[in-house]
Amino acid sequence: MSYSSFTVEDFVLDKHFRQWVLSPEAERNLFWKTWLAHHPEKKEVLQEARALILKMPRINYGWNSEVEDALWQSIAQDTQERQQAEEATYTKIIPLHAAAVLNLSPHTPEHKRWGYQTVGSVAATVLLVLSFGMAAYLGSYQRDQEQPQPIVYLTKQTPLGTKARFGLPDGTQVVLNAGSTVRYPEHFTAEERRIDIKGEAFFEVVKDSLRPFRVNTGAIVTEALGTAFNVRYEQQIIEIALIEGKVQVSVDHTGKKEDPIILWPGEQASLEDKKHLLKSTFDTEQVTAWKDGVIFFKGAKEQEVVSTLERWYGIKISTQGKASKPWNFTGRFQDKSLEYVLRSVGYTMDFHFTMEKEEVKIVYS
Amino acid sequence: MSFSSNSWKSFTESDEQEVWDQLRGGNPMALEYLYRTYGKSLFNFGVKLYGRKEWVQDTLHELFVDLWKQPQKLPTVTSLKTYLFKAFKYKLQRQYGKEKRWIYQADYERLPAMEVELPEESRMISAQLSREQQLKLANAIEKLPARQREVLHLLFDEALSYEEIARIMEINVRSVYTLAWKGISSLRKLLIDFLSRGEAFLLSSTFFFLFF
Repeated sequence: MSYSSFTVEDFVLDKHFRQWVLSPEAERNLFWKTWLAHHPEKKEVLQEARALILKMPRINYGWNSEVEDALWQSIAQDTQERQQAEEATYTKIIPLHAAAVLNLSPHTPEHKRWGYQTVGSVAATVLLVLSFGMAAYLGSYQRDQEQPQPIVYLTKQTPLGTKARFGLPDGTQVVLNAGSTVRYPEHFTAEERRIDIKGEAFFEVVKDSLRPFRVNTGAIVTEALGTAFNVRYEQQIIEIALIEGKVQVSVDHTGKKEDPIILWPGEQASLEDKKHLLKSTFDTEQVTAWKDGVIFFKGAKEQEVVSTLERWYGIKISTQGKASKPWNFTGRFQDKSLEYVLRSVGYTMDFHFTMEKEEVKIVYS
Repeated sequence: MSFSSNSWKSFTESDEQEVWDQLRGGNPMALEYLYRTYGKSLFNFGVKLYGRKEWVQDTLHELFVDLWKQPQKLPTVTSLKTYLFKAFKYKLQRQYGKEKRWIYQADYERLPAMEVELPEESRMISAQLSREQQLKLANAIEKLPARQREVLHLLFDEALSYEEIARIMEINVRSVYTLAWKGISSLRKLLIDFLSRGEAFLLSSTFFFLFF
């Protein structure tokens, strides 16, 4: 469209015309002067367009430095509080709800659907079990998260003591453990299916060889190459355990990428010193029991038992005295009350305990 | 995290990518810089769309708190401003959907108090324009259909390109232009009314002729 066929509206909406009207510098003046000389009949159109542009009001609905400062104060306060709250997640005392415990029951039909037998029979799916702690941010930028447009993200979050299950846009099913968050785009891109995890989740991933399934956890990216894995990310420890198939694990620490490592079933990778990946082996039931409502300990030390129960039941445990023998507890609890579990562990490890509201005190005999 | 006063200003010389990378790296000064740079624009955009100032402020608060939630998980962006506008609009829409019931009632009280600001570039010229005319135009803009109002706001107040507006509104560039055209067309009719009454017409055309 050439200027000669422009209406008043077109001129108002033309960037170059607007620039000239608002900041008429020599070069622009020359252009429009010349143009008008060739189109004298357009003079009135230009006049009207110019008047409109100049009169176009810029409106402020009362924003001023006071409003700006006050709102910033509240944002700054809120972000600080949130950060402190996140750092304290593991020790936070959260009321234990009876309903939350009941939800953990493995006898509900929905839970059955997620049993191994079901998963195993679906050939075109990938089984992922992920468990991440609320670890400190490790300082990476996911530069490969290139998106041409802002993406709309959806977030699912569960409170302590309650699980949720739902589907991702590609059909991948997710079971979200208590106190966990999954963030994923409303629509996956054509290149990848990337999600963010905090806490613990179980995935049954729909196979799509063209779009790898990638899971972000701080500095770690885990990519499903064809099947099933399990990730544990607590405090400063990150462990990725493969159940079946093949995964690729890579670290991106302060922008410097380490070579990815490939895991085979029964192998796990752990992040040491926030930097290097080490390979070892693991027990499958131990790392995947939670999704079936099972607390599983194998040769567990005090710290592991305490932190697991604190998280599972949303309580705080303190200890008094010293254990009479080295901690080495093995046990499996399905759909059991906190008292039941504590009594069993206490019987083996020789302690009694008191419970007051959400605080448990373990006293060694 | 510390929010020492004015330290965010150190970003004034940085380019937008650098600011965004700093935010993703967890630098709180980057968050404040974004707020100080775009807070006003976002606020006025929100009020333009939904009226209710306090509600828009609350939602703006949430937007920035959310940006800080998991900064390392923020996507790479090509245009910071477009990203913020789009994210804010999405947040407003969701919040509006959630609270529809009470907002609807209060919606009749749209059109909050406003002041007309003169664009920097045309301050000298505009000083000679009738304040009353501008207020009339401002009111006319407020009465335009919502999407026309949105396009004109982004185009004139925020000086965004058609492409950027298209991304924020999630429509194609052609539609942005059409909406803008219709909006301008309505305002034009109003302006013709002013002009036919002769006020300020001579003044502005005198200025016009200076350039020829």
